[in-house]
Amino acid sequence: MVLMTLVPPGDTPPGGASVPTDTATRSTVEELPHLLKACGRGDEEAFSRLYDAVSSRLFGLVLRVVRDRAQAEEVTQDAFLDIWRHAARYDPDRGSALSWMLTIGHRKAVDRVRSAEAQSRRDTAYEAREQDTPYDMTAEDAHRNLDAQRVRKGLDTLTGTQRGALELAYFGGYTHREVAVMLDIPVGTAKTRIRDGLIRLRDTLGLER
Amino acid sequence: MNDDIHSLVGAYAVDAVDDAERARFEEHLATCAGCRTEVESLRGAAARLAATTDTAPPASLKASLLRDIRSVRPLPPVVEEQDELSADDAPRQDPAPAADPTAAPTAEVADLATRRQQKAPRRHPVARWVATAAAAAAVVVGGVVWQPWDNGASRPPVAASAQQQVLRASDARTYTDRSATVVRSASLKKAVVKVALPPPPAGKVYEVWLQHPDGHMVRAGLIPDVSRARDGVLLQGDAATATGAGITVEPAGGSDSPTTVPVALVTFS
Repeated sequence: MVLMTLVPPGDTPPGGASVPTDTATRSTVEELPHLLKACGRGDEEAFSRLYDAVSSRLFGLVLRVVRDRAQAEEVTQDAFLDIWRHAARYDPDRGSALSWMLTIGHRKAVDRVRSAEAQSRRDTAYEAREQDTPYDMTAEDAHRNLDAQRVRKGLDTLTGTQRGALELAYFGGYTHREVAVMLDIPVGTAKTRIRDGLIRLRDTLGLER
Repeated sequence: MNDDIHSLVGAYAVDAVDDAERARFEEHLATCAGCRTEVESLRGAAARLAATTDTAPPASLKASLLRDIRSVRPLPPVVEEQDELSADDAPRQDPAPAADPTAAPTAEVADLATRRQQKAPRRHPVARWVATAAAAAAVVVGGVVWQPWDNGASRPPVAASAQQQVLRASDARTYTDRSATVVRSASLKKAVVKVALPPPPAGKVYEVWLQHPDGHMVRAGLIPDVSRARDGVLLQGDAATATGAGITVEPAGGSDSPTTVPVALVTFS
């Protein structure tokens, strides 16, 4: 996985290139498990570097789900504290470090929107409109991100119905049952579309590095 | 039923399940290596989606996090099972290679309900408690691996509950035995237990106990909602003088003293 935008400005990768090379960003990603391990030993400097490497992605995801900036900041802060607290329990055999951290952030974001059920953002019509332009609403940096382009191409291989269900679930924070009602499909169909959409995305993009 | 639960794998991987479904699916995960592998790969795929939304957080967020982490002790790694009495006595395993997840003692999970009722006559009582706690640890390992965070802090950071006060107390100390984690504040005389448990058998409930220096177990409350127990359950009673905490399965409503072997036992030492 390439994280073009995740190398913070001013923290130039080895080699000094102002535009990170593919090699440099990959080494940042490869460093993540080591940074997590160091965090587990209480290494604050490692946490600082870890934060620089993944905060845009984690915050962007949380913001996409939560939508409200102030709440997204709270949820992100909370997620990073949990990452710090649980860093020693990350198991590289179970998936990439980035995926592990984003899973934590996503779950917290979803918990937040579900606890704020009354929010007007949970308006089905609004969500349906959102679906037409699923990107770039909050993605300030995403257009500079090579991986984003790859993911969009991957998303294009999904059927429209798979993509709709997956985006409502992942970015909307809705349960599969809610997705079924929103899309007027049986519950079993919603489950299947979410799963099949993820499988196709996984198979198209290949395994994460 | 089983087919039905398998099909939740995609929804589970993107958190598109409610609390009851999550608990049910995690129980299933403990015994289904196929679903575990699929969850991992689908979570990886879902995480890729986040590449389309990169947004830099405000600089103030990093500053406050760097301040916050100074007061948060990283949890120890999950160490492999061993025969010592307490995991706390074990030497810190530095870059501890986490136990092979597929080798998780799933049979023990499946057997947990039966084991609770069984005696282990070959062993003396302490060893039996520890062995049972180790079986419960399999459940916790599942919890740690699949939901490796606690949700306690996802509430708005206002009006700290008694539970949060314990967790944040300056003298809060953490005790763990692989099956459960207890955070105790001597100054507040309170303790919070964090534990991942499967739903109790029908008509049963988990009851929490504080152990006193004479070995006596005193009621410290029930765990009404196991799905929340991972976030922490505040124990009733004076935890400052207690020497340990345990969890047993009791008939609905609870008992006045433990009637079954603890599924978790944590010593405050």
